[in-house]
Amino acid sequence: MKRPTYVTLLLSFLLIASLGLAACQAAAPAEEEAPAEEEEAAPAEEEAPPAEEEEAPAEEEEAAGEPIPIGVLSNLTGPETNSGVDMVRGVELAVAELNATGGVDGRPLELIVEDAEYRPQLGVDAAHKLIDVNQVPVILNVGGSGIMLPVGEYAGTQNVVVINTGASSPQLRDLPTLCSVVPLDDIVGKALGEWAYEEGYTTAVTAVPNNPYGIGVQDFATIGFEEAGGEVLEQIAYIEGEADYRPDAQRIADLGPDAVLSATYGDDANLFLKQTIEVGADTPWFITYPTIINVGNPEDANGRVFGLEPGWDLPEAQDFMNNVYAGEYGEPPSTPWANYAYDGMMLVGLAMRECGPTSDCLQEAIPEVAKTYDGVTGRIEFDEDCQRPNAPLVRMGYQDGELQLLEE
Amino acid sequence: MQVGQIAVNSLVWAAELGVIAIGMSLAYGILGFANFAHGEFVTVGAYLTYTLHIQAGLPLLIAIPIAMLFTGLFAVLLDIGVFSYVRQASAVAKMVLSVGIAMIIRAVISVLFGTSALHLEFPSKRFEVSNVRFTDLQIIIIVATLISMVLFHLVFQQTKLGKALRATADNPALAEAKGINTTGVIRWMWFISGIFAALGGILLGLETQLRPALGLFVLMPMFAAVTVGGLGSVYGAVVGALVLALAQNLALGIDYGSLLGFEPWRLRAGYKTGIALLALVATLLVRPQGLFGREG
Repeated sequence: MKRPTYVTLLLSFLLIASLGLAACQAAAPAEEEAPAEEEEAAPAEEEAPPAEEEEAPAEEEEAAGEPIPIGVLSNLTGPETNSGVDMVRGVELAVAELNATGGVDGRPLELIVEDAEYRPQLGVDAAHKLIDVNQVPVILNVGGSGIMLPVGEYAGTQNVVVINTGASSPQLRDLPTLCSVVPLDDIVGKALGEWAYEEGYTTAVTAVPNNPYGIGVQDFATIGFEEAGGEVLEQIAYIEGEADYRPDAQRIADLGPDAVLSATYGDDANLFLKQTIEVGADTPWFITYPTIINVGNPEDANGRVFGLEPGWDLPEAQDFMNNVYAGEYGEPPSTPWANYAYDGMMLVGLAMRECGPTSDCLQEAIPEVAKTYDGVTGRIEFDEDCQRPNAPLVRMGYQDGELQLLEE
Repeated sequence: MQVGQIAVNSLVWAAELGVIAIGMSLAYGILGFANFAHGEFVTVGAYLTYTLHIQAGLPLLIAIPIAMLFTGLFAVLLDIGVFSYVRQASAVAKMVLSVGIAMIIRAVISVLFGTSALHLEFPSKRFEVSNVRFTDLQIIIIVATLISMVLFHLVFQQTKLGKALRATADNPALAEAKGINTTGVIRWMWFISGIFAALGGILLGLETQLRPALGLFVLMPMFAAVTVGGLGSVYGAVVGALVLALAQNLALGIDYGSLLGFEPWRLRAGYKTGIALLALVATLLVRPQGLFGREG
C-alpha cells in the first residue's frame, strides 16, 4: 500500500485544518449544515389576530390592501433561542395591533422572518435577501451584536433602517441607519462593573465570549469597576461553542478574583459555570442579561449568579407579558426581550403612519413619535446617535433555584 | 497553576484523547490514510448514549456499552457502504472523502438533535488534596481509559485477531498471501476504532456537554496526538496523547512574563487547539515518523 509522503500529508493537514478552523470560527456556536426550519421554529409570519379590546384605537377597521413588508432577523436556532422566539412574538403582537387599527395608510404590515442561527454570515445573507429581494424599508434585528454590525453596515449602504431590539455593542453607534430600543453596553456593562464593586468586591476577572457583544461588555464593565475603585486582574475572552472551558475556568481559579464580570450566555454559560465550580472557583458571577443564560443546575447558581436586565418590572411590562403575550401564546415570555421587540415594532408602525411606509424619513420620524409613545418598556428617548440612554435596569440574582428580582 | 493541578488536568485530557487516538492510529496503520470521519464516531457514540440514557431511560452503565457497540457497527457499515469502494484510491482522495462523510454525519446529528447543547447527566463530587482539585468523574474517566487500554493491549497482542491486525498493518499483501482475510480484518479494525472513539466521546460528553461539533473539537488534538506518537503506532498514539496533553496544559499554565522578569503574562486558553497544531507541524517537520513510528 502506497503511503503519502510526509510533506504531502503535512500540506493536506494544514489545508484541511485551516478550512475547518476558519469555518468553525466564522460560524461561532452553530456551524452545522442543517438549515433552520423557520416554519416550525419561528412563530413565523403574517396573520393579523383580532385586536385587543383594551387598546383604545381611533380606527377600528382592519388594514387591507397591498401589504407593506417588514423584515425581521432573529436567532431561532443556535445556543440560545428563547430570546429570539420571544422577540419575534413581540414583533408579531405589535403588527397585529397595528393592522387591527388600520395598518399604515390602510395597508397591512407583513412580517418576513429570517433565521440567522447566530451566524454572522447567515445574518448578512438574510439581510441581503430582505433588502434586495423583499425590498423591505426596515429590518427589526433581534440578533446579537455579531450579526447586527455587518447587517447594519449593509443596511446603511442601502438606506434601510434597522431597529435593534437585542444587541448591545457600543460599536452600533457608528451605524448610520440603526436605532436601538435597548441600552448599549456602554450603559449596561458600566453599571455591571459598578454594581460588583458596590457589593464589596475589589478584584475581578472579566470572562466574555470573543465577539463584539462580549468585548463591549468587557471593556465597559472594566471601566465601571475600575472607576469605582476596583482592579480587574485579567480579561478572558473565550471562544464560543467549545466542548470544554476547563482551561479558562482553571485560569479564573488560579487568579482568585473576588468576582467574575461576564457576558456569557446560552449553553456556553452552563458549561463555564459548571466547570468553574469543579475547579474550585466559587466566586460570584455578575452577568449582563441573566435571563439568556442556561443554568444546568440552578442550585449551583444560588447566591452565586447575579445580573443586570433591562427593566421588566414596570407595570406596563408585566401587563404586556402576563396578559397580552400570555393571552396569545399561552404563557408569558421567558425573557423580557419580547417587550423591547414590541416597542420597536410599534415605533416603526407609528413612524410609518407619520411619514409613509418607506425608509426615507423613518429614522427622523422614529425619535419624534417616541416622544408621545408610552411603551411597555417605559418612555423611550433617543440620543443623537438614535440610541436609547434611558432604559431602566433591574438587578437580578439566583435564589431558591430560580432567577429573581433583587431588592434595590 | 501548580504542577499537581497541571498533572491531573493533563491526565484527564490525555485519557479522553488517548482512547480516541487509538482507533485513529489503528485505522491509519491499516488503511494508510487519515480518516477525518473518525472524529464523528466520537460524536455518534456520545449522542447514542444520550438517546439510550436520557431519552429511552436506560441506566448509564447499560447505555454506554450499547452505544459503543452500535457505533462500532456504524463504522463497519461506513466501510461496507463507502470506503470499501475506494480501497485503491490515493490516500489524499480517501482523506478528502472522509471529510465529506464527516460533514454529512455532523449535519444529520444537527437535524436529529438540534444544535443546542445536550447533557449526559452525571452529578460529580469535587475533591481537593494538597491544593489539587479533581472530581469523581475524572477519576472514573482515567480508570475507564486504563481498563480499555489494557483490554486493547490484550486483544492486540494475545489474540489471533490482534496478530492479524498487526500483520495487515505491517504488510497487507503478505498478510493476504499468508491466508489472512484482510477484508475481514479491516472490518474488525473499523469496529474497534468505532467503539474506542465512542468511549472517548462518551467520557468527554459526561465531563462537558454534547454538541454536533464534538468530533470537530477533538479532531486537531487527535491528529496531533497520533502524529506525535507516530502514525500507525497504536501505543505511540497513547503516549502522544499524554505528551500533547502535558504540552497544552503546561503551555497555558506557565507565567512567561514572570519567567522573563516582566509583568505576569500567560497564553490565553483559546490557544489550546493552536498548541496542538503547532505540535503536529513541528513533529512532521522535525521527526515525521513521530516518537514510535517507523521511518520511510
